[in-house]
Amino acid sequence: MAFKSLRKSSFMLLLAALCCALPTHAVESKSTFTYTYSGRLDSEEKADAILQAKVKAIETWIATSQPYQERNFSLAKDDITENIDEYLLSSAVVSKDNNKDIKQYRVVVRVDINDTKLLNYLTAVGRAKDGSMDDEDQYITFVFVARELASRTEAKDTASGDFKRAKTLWQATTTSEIDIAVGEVFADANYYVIEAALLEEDTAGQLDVNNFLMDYEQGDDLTPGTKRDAIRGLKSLEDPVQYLAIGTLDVDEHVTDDVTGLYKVPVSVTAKILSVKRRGATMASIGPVQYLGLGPTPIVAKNNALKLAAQEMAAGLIGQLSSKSI
Amino acid sequence: MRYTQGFVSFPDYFQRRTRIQNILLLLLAAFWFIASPAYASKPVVYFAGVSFLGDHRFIDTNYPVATALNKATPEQPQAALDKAFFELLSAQSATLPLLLSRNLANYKSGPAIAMTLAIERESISIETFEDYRKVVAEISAQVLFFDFQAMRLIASIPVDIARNDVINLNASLDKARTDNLTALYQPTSNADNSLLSVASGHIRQFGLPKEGVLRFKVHAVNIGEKASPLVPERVQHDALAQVFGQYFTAQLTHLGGLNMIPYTKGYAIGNKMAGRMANGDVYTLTLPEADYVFTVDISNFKHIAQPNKHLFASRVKFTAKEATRSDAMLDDYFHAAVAKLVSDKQTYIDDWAAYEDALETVLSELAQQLSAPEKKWFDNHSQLKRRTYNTFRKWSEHINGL
Repeated sequence: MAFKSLRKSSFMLLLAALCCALPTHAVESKSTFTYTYSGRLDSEEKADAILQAKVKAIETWIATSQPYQERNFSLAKDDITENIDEYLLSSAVVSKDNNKDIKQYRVVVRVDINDTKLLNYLTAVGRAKDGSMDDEDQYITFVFVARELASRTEAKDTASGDFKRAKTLWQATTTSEIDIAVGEVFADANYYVIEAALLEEDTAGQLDVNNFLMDYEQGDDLTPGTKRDAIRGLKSLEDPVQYLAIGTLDVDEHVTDDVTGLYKVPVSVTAKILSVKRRGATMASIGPVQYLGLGPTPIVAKNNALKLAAQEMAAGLIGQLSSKSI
Repeated sequence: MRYTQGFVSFPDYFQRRTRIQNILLLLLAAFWFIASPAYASKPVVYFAGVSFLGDHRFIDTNYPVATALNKATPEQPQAALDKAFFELLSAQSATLPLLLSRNLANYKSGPAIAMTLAIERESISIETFEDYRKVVAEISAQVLFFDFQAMRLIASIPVDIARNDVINLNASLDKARTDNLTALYQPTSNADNSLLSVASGHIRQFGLPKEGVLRFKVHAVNIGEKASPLVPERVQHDALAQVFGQYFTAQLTHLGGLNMIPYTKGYAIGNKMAGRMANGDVYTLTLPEADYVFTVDISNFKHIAQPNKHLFASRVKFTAKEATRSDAMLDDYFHAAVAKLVSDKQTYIDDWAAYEDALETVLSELAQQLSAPEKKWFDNHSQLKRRTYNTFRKWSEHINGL
């Protein structure tokens, strides 16, 4: 019965999908705050020490897990401090210690951060910073491809003797896992997301997803021609799309996890956002960063890895864009 | 719907009215039941059956009896222990602090809590006397409550159960092992003394921890230099640490009233705990970080022979600290002794079994003293006596004051 009691074998797929791919909506962080006082420590000072410890717990989490949001956090810190409990699902005072000899009050708190709410707020604060945001700036399109190694050849350079050149060929595809995950993150951050395929006709074929795939099968970046054409095409639109996000998610071979017996698939991500208005200048970039997907079959593990990598990559890009008020 | 004109006879009218009244009464009763505080406050928990902790490759070897009993097959898709446990809990649903569901947990509708009875040890020990053998069968398990969406442990209840038996010298040890462990899983009589009934009893008295409640963990159980030579060769030190780490965790839960994270040295890697269900599905749970950690160093064992009895003592160093600090809040040596009568017919005095009893005693009493320190106990069982009693009192005030 066991998992079958939770509806037969579908549980396994659901379980794998849940534990490996879905972003959690609460993350835990712990922090210590030491408050030095003079005279007698009053209850207001104690409460303030706990508040500062909570803020520090959020700040610690941003610094370690969301470095792209650090700038936005510094802008929003005062407001977050004032409304701290809106961004926490729960909190616990783990320890309170008043050292009267040196007049120091030390508190340790553990908080459950409502990360979705906090990140959305930080992104909004960053984008609205100088009021420069307008409707035009909010359109974004993207081409992210999943790549698997097709072949790798090494050649000896006859001139230098022992120097080896490697030629790597990839099999590149666009996948719904990536498109949906990235689209959700961009849309949650209030960007208008347009599928790249929908723009092919409008740009008279200057933006051609197949060109992207062909380029990424041969190398790690787009050829200047593909990039130039795409930027031109987007710029020529009556209602211009201002940002083009591109990148690769390289899927490595699966291995088996010794303890659980589940399949593990590593994915390496490289991505950037180009500004159409600024002649294709890079506005944000990520990677290469590695992510791991787990699953009962190699395919499920791969899809989980791609989904996780796409979500994290998109969140990182958004963090960087918003910190530039974009 | 068919309508008829004309009179409705009295019996028909009466019957119809009675039916309507009955339906209304049923609806009212259902509403009252759903709206009642007892029902409304109970969390829905999804039943995930019996599982086995540890590396999936060694589950059949580590739990030979339970896995044989709980095999799901195409002919018998409902594994026997899963079925029995669900039926037992369902029969007690009125007194359970949760609403048990066998449906698929729906993560899209919000946080979902699932529950599994995870077996973490089945073992047998044998003492040989002149004309018989004493067999002790033991099972340790955890009722694990976990966030189904994040696959993160929320709470656990340690469950331990043991059974003594006597067999002939010529009797098969394999059979004794299987029979005694089977009796703990599937008793033929005295159903109260089964793993499932003890687990359901604990669940009845359990409440899922409130948000922000403190978490404690036995971080390590170490065997010191003086104690090490007294541990029999057949007993692996890692296994010993695992057994007593689990035991102490259980005592701290039940006697100390603390929200404990399972002791996982033997089967968790980092903060991940792996398990396998009856049908072979594997799961991995993330363990939360502890706020306070305990360490037990088993420092020595001592045997004192007296005319009619033998005293066996165990001494441990116990430390407790807040997880972010390096200095200990509690730190002292503690000891306890058990008396053992020695029969003329016993061919071999098993010091180890008595030492284990002494170790269990000191850990169990320590767990009690953490929640309610008694001055007299510290005078008799701790090295620093009054000073340690005061630190335990401060600890108790500190924890309760948070």
